[in-house]
Amino acid sequence: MAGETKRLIDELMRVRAKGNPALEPFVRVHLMLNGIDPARYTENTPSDPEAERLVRKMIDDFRSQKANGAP
Amino acid sequence: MTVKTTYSAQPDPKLAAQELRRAIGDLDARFVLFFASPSHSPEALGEALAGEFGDVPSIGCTTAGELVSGSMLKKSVVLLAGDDQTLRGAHVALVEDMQREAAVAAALETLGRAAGSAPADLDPERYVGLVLHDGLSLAEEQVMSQLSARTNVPFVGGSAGDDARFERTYVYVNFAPHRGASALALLEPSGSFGILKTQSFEVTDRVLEVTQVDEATRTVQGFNGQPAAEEYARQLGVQPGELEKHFRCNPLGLLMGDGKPYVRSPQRIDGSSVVFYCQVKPGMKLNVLRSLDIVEQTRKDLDAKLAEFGSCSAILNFHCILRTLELEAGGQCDAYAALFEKIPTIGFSTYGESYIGHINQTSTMVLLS
Repeated sequence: MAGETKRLIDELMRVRAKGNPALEPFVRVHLMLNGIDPARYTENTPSDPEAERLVRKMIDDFRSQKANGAP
Repeated sequence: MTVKTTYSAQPDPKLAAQELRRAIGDLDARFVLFFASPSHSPEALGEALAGEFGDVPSIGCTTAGELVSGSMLKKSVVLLAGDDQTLRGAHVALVEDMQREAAVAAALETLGRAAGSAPADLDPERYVGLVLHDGLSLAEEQVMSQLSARTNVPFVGGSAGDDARFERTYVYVNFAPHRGASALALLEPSGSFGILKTQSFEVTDRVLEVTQVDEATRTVQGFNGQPAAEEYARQLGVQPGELEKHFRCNPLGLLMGDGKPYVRSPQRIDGSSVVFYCQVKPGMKLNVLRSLDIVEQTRKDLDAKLAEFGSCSAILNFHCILRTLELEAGGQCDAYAALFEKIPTIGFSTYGESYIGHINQTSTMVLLS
């Protein structure tokens, strides 16, 4: 689905940054080093299944650390 | 007293540990960080340090050269100890198997539990992480990617060295040496902290897109749809047979939003492929870089950071071995070391630096106020 990769990247930013804009560069560099350039994806970009798989996993990994490790 | 840095050039590990302990004096250490020449037996040095520092949480690693305020050293041990005026808290953990995501998650959970929070909820303005890797593991990217995926706390550090022998590198957690592992520390500084990543390159407009790559061995087979070595040489305007001579001065950079590169350093040519010191991904567009003077650029970036940061009580400097080799070739080691003369500093020459990911040819530093 066109725009799906951008939607997932936006969701990752929301989950990670939680309204703190200072965290967005951190997440952006993390994506870039994993081969995903957020600037390449718009609402009209065709689906990129490999990028979507990676971003979904990043969202899941972060959410799992919210659930685990609490005292 | 808040933080002390020191070093020992004693070849005997027991004498070195005793000398380091004496220099720390009556400081009530809450955390110890050390970098040790591989000329010491890792087991003997770890045992000797444990004998002197007891159960103080600590991490450390072997090096390809050490740094301490005002000096670049060989065959020494450099050490920093901070008390509770510097650090409200310090917790350490071992990633036993760098290849396993679950091992990174488990180590982070250990740190989170010790700090009283789930890793994803740790406040990145309150905590900073340190990370030291086995420098011959080829697995730093996996660990860094998992750390950066699972917490907002920045982890900064480097890959252990062995004086450019490329045989065995070690990390230490609580003075016990490990291979195939990463050492983590979660610090809660009492004051503020800053991170500086400086590299001494200008970015050219020549771009190499990775079109074929074996990520596991960090080997690029194709750039711009052409054999990698041939295309890299063409972009530099040199013959393929001369390409390796240009690697140190013309590595590649992945440009971030601020226009600054994350340097990807080529190591050697393998047939028509180029092997790198860090991983590159398919589709990455990498700009050719051109080297600048390391001392001048580091001075400029450090001065700017210190001006923004205010007072600085300590610097932890993770400094690429390729920069050390270039400083040595240019007779600039003393000038580089002098940049840190007035600030308590320890550091080491790494097999790669860590900040969000795995990088090369930088000095990546943590500054404590």
